[in-house]
Amino acid sequence: MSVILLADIDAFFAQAEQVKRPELRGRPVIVGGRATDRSVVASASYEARARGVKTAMPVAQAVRVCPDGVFLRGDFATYSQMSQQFRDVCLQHTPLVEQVSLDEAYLDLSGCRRRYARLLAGGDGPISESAWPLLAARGLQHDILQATGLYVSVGVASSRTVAKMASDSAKPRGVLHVWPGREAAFLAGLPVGRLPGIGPKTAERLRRYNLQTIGQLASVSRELLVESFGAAGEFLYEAARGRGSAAVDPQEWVPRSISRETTFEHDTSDRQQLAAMLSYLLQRACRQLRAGGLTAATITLKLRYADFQTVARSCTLPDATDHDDELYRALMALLPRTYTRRVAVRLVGVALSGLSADGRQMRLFDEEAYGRRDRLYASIDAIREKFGFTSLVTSRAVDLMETHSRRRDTFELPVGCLSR
Amino acid sequence: MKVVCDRSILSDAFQMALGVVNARSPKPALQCVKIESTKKEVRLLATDLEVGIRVSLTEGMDVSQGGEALLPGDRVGAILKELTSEKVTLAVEETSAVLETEDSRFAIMGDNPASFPSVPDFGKDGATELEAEALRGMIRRTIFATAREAARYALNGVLWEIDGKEVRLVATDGHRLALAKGECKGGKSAGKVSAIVPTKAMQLIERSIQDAETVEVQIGEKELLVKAGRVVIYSRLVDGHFPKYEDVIPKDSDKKAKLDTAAMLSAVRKASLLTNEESRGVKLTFRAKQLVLSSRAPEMGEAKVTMAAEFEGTDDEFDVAFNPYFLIDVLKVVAGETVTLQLKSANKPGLIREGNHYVHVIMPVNIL
Repeated sequence: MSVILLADIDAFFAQAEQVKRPELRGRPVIVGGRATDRSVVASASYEARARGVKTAMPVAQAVRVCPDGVFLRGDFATYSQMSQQFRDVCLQHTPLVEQVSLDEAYLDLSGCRRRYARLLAGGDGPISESAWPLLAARGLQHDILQATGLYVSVGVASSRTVAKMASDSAKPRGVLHVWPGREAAFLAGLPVGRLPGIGPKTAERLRRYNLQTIGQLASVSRELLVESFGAAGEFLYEAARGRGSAAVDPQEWVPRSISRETTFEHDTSDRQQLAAMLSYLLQRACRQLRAGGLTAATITLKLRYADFQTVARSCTLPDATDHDDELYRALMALLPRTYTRRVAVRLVGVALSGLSADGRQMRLFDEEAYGRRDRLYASIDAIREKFGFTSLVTSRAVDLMETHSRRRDTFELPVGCLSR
Repeated sequence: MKVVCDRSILSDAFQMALGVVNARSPKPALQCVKIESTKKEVRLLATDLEVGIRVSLTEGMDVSQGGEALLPGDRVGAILKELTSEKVTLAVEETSAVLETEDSRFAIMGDNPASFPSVPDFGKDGATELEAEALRGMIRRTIFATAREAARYALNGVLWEIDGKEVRLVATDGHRLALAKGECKGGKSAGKVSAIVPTKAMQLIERSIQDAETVEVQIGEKELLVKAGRVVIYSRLVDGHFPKYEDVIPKDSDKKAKLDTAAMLSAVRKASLLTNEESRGVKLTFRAKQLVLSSRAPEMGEAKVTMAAEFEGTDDEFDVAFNPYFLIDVLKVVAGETVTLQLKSANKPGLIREGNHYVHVIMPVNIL
């Protein structure tokens, strides 16, 4: 029987701020922007959630429902570092760790029974067969708190799906173990929309069949589900019974895309300003790309006009790369194709996708130049690592020096670039 | 115009012309095939402005009145294919054409022949002569290596180099390079010329010269003309700089692997089944008598294929990784039963050479 844990950091960004600045403990912290900002809430502490603040709510609205909130811009470098510590603690418990996002990781403890049995045998005699996973989860929660100061919630079950839902139910600061054989009973009362893999569309369709809870879904036959939902019916049938994959893939977490975006303090139609900001956002994305040992094949330019119309254009490069200059050239070629209306722009963003951690196809003609640039970017990264990101400003981002003040690791943007 | 034609000859020629016609061209005239006839011959012309073709027919054509017509290509092509009779009569009055057999009659609205752009014809100046079959082989062994992305337009074609008696075709996509050499059979020496011919034109040439024995070639400032029997193909040249390809053909490869061509092709195909868009590398591990191919695709699985090989150059195990599709492409076109892969190191190009008439270079995938 597999024993899968899902550890999920509670209200990650907001809690991270409270760890960094203990005076914020117990106060409603909202990460996403300053009170005067035009962005949306990226993360809200439980104190803020109690007052009605929700993730993805516009900051202006959050200010109305929670006027005494502490509104912060966020600090991605800190979050990233804490996420790494979180991962390290998980890896001390088992090598089978699959980090699925900055604040979530699956752990496969199936083979660890004897270890915990030994650890706990010193207590009140032999522990019961079903109790050790819960104790392991408590231990993990404790170790993460010690190492990072962060509270996590842990779900334990025999499959990933149920572990995930158990951790959701345990939030905040909780641990929930769904015993083998009790999955269906645990799921029965939960709404269908809570099942991972069921989006709002499918949930809405299920509701039209009057299938509100997972228990109701579990009462429908496999044949009927397959007939109504096709291949997805199989999945629904299994998921409603808490069955599903238990495989934890301990490979390095490769994100699907790396993106950075920001809202301007004032809408702008100045192409130089757009280019400067895009250059800066791209440099930040590229730094993360290289830090992860990845290359990108596709670059996307996103732009939101003052009237909220949003457009995005992508371009796939002939060769995957992790070099700022090659991606910047592609980005600048996208700009006139994306910015076509005579309307001011409120937000720009860059996304890198087609990410790969595997081998790079080498080039026949300019491999030497590529190698030279490789060394150049390695040096730039090393300098930034040591003296802060803004110790070295390159390309069009230099223009930002006139308009934005610099902190050690970032330009002061009205709305930070928090997205991954 | 009035011509009694052998239907199958006309139909075949028409299909050949259709290979050039862009049925979705915004210019109606370019969706058409032009038919010109004089007392002696009937000519079919088609162009997309980049590439043009003229097919001259003398046999099986009985011209009673000369003239010209511009007819919708795909429609007339389909009609000629569908007809079963031996003869078909083509008559043109004003802008409508009539195709008639004993049992069928098609009156087709044509376009104004004057709206059709001129298709350059083979010049009177002398031409370089090549053997048709040899040229086809050279094209087949290079064309697959051209770049497909429009961003590298200079690589979207095959480089022709004629230097005295020697003819070279070179294609590269920036990751691999194919070079085929041939001999001029005769004709006027072109001296030293080079030109980049678009991939589409090269495909057309390969297809259109299969019935001919000899091909005549003229390379001008801006165009290439190829004449093979009754067909003349015109192509605009790609205006760009082809990279200095000679520099990237390795000359210091000190490791050699002798492989059975068919076995290698099969092994690479098998190993390629577990690669994907993001991890396109198959790792080749050479030992003295053995080659192991291995691949891995995240979230999919791993593959390992072993085959016999004769490897020399180092006593140690030697690793290098390639995009399997590049290997498959070249293994499909080499003629010999065995093929020799020459290597230097994991980050230097691999080389396959066949006699002194074919060279293929592949850049490896960098396995960290």
